[in-house]
Amino acid sequence: MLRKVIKSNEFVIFLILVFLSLVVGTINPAFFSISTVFDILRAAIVYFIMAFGLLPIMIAGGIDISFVAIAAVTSYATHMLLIKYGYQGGIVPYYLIACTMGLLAGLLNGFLVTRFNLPVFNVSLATFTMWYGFNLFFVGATSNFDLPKGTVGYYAKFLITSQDPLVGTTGLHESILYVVVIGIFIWWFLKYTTIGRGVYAIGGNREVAIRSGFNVTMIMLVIFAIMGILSAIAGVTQAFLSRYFNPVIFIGQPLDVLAAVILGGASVTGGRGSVIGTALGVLLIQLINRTLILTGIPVEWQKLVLGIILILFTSIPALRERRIKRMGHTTELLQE
Amino acid sequence: MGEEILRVEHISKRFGGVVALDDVSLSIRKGETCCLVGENGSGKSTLIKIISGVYIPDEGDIYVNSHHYKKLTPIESIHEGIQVIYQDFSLFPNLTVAENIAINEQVASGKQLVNWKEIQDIAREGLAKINISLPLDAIVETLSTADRQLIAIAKALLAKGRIIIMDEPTTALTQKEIKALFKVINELKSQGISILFVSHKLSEVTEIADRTVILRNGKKVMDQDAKGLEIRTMEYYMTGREIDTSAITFAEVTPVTPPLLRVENLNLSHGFFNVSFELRQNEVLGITGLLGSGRTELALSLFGMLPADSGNIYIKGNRVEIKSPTDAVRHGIGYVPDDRITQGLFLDQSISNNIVVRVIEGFKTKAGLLDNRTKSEQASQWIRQLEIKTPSGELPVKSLSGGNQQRVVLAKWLASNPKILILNGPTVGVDVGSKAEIHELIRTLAKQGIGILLISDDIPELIQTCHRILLMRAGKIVGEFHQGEITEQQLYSELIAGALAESSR
Amino acid sequence: MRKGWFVLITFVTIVALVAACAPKPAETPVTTKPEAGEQLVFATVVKSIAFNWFKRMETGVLQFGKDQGVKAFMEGPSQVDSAAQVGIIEDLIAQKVNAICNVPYGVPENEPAQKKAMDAGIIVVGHEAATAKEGTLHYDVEAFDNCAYGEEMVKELATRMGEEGKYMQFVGSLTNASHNEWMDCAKAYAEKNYPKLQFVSKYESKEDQEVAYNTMKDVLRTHPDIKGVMGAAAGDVVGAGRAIEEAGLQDKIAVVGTSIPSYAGELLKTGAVDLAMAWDPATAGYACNMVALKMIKGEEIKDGMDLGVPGYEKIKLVKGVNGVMVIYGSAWIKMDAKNMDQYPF
Repeated sequence: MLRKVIKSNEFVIFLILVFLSLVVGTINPAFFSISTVFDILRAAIVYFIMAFGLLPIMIAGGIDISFVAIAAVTSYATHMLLIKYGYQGGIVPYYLIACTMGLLAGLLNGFLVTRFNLPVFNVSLATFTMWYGFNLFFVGATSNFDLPKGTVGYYAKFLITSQDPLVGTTGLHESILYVVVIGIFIWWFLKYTTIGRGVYAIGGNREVAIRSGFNVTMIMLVIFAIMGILSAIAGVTQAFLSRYFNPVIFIGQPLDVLAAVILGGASVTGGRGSVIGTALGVLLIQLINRTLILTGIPVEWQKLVLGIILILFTSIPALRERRIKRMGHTTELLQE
Repeated sequence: MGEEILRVEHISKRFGGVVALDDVSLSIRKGETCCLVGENGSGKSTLIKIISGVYIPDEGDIYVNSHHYKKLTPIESIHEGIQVIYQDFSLFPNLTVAENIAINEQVASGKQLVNWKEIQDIAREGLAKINISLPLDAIVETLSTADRQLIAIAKALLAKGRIIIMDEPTTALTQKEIKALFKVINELKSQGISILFVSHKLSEVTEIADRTVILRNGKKVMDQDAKGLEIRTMEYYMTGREIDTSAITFAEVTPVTPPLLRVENLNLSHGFFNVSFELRQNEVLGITGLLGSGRTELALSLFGMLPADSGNIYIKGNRVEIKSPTDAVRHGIGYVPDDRITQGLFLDQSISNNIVVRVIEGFKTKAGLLDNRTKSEQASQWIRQLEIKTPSGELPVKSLSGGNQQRVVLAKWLASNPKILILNGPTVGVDVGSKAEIHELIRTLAKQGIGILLISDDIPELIQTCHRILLMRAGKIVGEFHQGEITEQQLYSELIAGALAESSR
Repeated sequence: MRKGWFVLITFVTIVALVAACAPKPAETPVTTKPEAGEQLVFATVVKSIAFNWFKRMETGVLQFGKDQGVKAFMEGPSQVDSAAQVGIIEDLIAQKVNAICNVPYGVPENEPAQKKAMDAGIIVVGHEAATAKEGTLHYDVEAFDNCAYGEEMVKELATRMGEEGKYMQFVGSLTNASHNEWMDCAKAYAEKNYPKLQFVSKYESKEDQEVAYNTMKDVLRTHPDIKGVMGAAAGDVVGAGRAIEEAGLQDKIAVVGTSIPSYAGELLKTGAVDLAMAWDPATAGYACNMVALKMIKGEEIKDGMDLGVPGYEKIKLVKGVNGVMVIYGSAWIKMDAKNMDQYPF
């Protein structure tokens, strides 16, 4: 059991995380503070949520980039709609409206993929462009800083706060609870529901999944719906954390999320991936993004390091397969 | 024999202009083993897919358990107790043994939640039915082909199938495993389960069948009690001609030294040990042994895919290093894999492109562009020479039947003019008619001067094509037999001697 | 079938986007070459009419029309798109307007259309197009010289820092030419004139104020003694200001940078952002049209002349890198808590 853990992809990322933290902390002792942890978590919250939404799709063998556009259009359109009617209440209606829109946007992707048998990536490329375009043209093109009165101060709703001499009050934002709940839900969904196992089955062998009696269309619609809803939650959460609504939010970020899911052990060809791995992948990417200033490494280096880590991680499954092939012969021999 | 459980009547199915099935009727009774026999393209696979609900028939009726259907869906088929073990085993490479075995039951039960303990119990029960133990938590892609086959069988047995369709189930099994499978089949029969057994190995058919049905060109040409049915008769119905195995002429082996290929003390850890042999020009050298004897590893080593740890390889007396397939190709070695799907072909590419892929450089025009005409001409020549059955060389390879795909793999290697050709199970999954033709082709190639290493456990094949046969066991060469000095029966005894020793230990 | 649907969907998407970007049918009547006494028609074409920035520019264009008795109006695609912008210019050529003031999205993509307009006898003046090739614009008008703007920014910062201490810079991206020119000139100026100012680093905000916020926090950890922050993109000082405000350091750290009140308003009030600098698009639009008018009237554009527009009282005339003649004003505006209400954009 222990050996299995040590050999797992998750453990490797965990080690890298620890190692990188030690390196950064050695260079800059200010890194070792509870406020740093809170800050990194705060920045990671929306990436956790988006990555959890993307994970089932990647396990099923699809690559999606439209989730960022769905996050942008649902959050921004909800906001513009509500302020148009002079809404001044709390944030719950934001989540309700945005999630409904996200559900529909996710289902649109799922519908196009299943009904016309299109590759997930192609569909997501089209909807990525379409939703950002829709936002800019039909909803609005400028960032909006007018938050309803009921939502002012949400960004500082902390579960725990820490008083840091350098950066002042920092806290563990309450939206980290969403991450925990969503993470547990996705883990449970993938591990303990028949649909969740169907997701792995589709990624392992789509034809066989159909033959085994899985309703592949329904499963794909479910995971796209989940992705749509989680994207909406991420979009709204990010807007309130940063205190403004941006029509092109996350437009440059889909690769950060994809990279996190892949680092977490998901394979681009599908069939593999875990919630824990994904969460660690998100943390690793966030940490790498943060090391720049803390260590004084030039920005170009940061990208190079991220690239190298990605190459290493995407080649791990291939290396492992090669080893398995050789071991496969061994088991044959032993069985004889 | 019990009452009728499955009947299909007047089934026809066309794909475009091609008639795959033409007015075929078939019935299976409870507890009966019906063998479905036919050459490639005879319509066996289409019939299986109609019964399992993958294809919709153009005409005809299906009756299962007295329920009438014009067409079945896969789910209906499963609900009626029909289970298919496909040649690809229908497994999920990324999931564990336990889940693969139990997944159908999970889906069929309609349960929305997964109980992992139950999955383990179901899997254990399934494996117990065929008396096999495998690590339940192992990921299937880490297992050998033989293990995967066992999982597929356990899975079908478990799914409470009352009609189990086995599509070439013995292809990847050793003799010992085939015996075990037949024991299971007989037990299932006694439990009242019906088996539709699809096979090319006619000797197996005679052993297991209660009734034999033969298809040819989409039509049913024979349907009779298997008792007293001779292989020769079946061959006649399958091919429409009698195959003559008496008048085989072997190539004259050139005795010049140094030999074409000499292998000296070759070692691969976990593969084979101290292997030495020679291969001469015009010679077909058979290498046999049970699954796991090291025969496949040896072939892969010589082709550079699993480079040997130590030992020497000489080609025409010169010592060569073979560390990669590129090295092997440079030294004139070709390799035709047993798994043509994953190792040999680009399935979506055209037949022509697959044939010329290794020699594509040769079709460059002066401007560096591809000369498509020369390319097609060369490809057509191979298509004719190897009698690949296709209306056009521009169709994708996946449109071809198994036997014809195998010919494409052969053509691909022959196009590059190899001096040494390693054939690994060249007729696995190929029907009798094509098999005889491929054997003739192997002999012809030897006559043209190519040295051929034939890796196979098909005893008649070895006897009919090889000048010499090396027997491997546990990674070592343990015997050498010359053509004319050994009979099929003797070779069979030698081959399974090791397995017997093993099981009595 | 598969391919067909994909093509269809792509097509529909593209049609929707193009339709969205296509120029609106021209509302101006077709005019001919100006005869004596006939009203002049000046068109201003912008990257996109969807941005508040250009809505502000439109007020300047309309003001120019009113002041000078010219029929002046603004046009632009709904979404930034060079092709749509070129289409609008072609339309204007067909309408035989007298002058076009163009704010190109992609400078090279707009050049052929500009040249075509010039060949048709139309006066074409550019804005934010200092890199245009010779012969593709009569003049380009810039609110200021990038270097001068950067120097002005660092002067304001230095004053607020007491001319000593550590300072850092934000740029939208390391590949944004203007942002980097501002910051590099600022740094050079500081090295020469404020020896006690200590440069820390130039950071990339990826045009995202969240990134600026996170970066600022990490800078506070790494350089607790930081005294000054400069921002190039409009969100930079907002993100940095938030981090500084949360640390309670709004009185200790000077924040000066490009921004506008609708972005940085709250933080200007609390003092987390000390000074937002920008150029008023209204006056830029006014000046651009003014240059065209002076040319039609036959006046020569000379170095040091007064365009009669605030910030353009003493213009600098310089040949641009690719040959076009560039007119520089000193038209930056400085907004702080006191005067921000005068700039509603």
